[in-house]
Amino acid sequence: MNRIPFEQFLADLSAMSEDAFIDPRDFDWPDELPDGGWYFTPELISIHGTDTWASMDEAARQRLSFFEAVNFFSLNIHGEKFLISEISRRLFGDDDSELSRYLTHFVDEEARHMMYFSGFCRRYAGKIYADRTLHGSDSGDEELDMFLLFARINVFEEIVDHYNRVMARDARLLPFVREINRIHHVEELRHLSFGRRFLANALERHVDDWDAERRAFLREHLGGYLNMVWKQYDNPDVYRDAGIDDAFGVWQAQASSEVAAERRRAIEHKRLSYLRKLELVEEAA
Amino acid sequence: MNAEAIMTVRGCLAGVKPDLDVDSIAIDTPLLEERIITSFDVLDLLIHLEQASGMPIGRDQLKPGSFRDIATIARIFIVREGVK
Repeated sequence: MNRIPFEQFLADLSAMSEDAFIDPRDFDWPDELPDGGWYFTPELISIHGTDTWASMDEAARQRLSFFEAVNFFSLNIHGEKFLISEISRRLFGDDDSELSRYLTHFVDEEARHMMYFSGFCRRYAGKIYADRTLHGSDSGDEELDMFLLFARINVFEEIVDHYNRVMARDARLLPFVREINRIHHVEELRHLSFGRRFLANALERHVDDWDAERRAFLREHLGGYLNMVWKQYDNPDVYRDAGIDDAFGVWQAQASSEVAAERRRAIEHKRLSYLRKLELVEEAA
Repeated sequence: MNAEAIMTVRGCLAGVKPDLDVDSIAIDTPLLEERIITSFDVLDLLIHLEQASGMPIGRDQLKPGSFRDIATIARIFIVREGVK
């Protein structure tokens, strides 16, 4: 398949970012939240399908959906914060001006996404859930570290985008919550497109010098990262805030929940096919 | 070192890695360096430590050095030495 040159691809993405600027100041925030209503697609709620879920009435499930939304927006804030700091320190190096130009838009868009997510969390929950992730140290190989950074970003964004896509179209959700998901989905499409092309390019460039051992390391690292991404969707603080008894026990049970594992497998199968094609992740067990 | 705090940390590690023989790990064995745990396991470990200590953990406590070994984890997250 013929592809446009990478530099042209980057220039096109930058042009799209400039033409399709979305201003968070234009967002219409409700003064107050209605009683009840869905903030998160019920089938995507972390404990959907479990015994705890079965024991909850509609009002309790909707209350949980609010805190699941706060958690989803919080984990996005933390992911974007990390991404912004890591990408920013690599901008405008020696000979990557078109790449830096696009990444500046990328960072700008991520910063604006944080305005939506934090706007919701601060206004309606009065908090952002804590970040419990720890990021490992760099290897010292700048190109490998850059590759791993964008591979992790791509894994994170593919999963997030699945949730955004579903929730943007879910008529059960409150309209302004759907809109936050829709805006994020629209801008993330460019980021996902960039990530896939960047990773494929890097792998082509290193087809000879990144040996089987290094590629196995990449797969193992990304497998561990993917697992950690999923763990962020199960948060005992959410269960506690939603009034669920034994929040810690419910959180622990998630690790062995076959329903949750099946949901993750289905999403991975759908959303990580490109990374599987590049042999960066394996099919979920 | 506070024996009870060490035991609590060992319990938390076992919660994260049920297959790990936690009693065989010396309190000064470098956990991340020897890949007994990875940075990806820290999220689970923190939730166990919060549950065991009954207190949330602050972002300023979250540094790779905080998870160096069992003794360090006990000091920072259970005994909470130097935490205001």
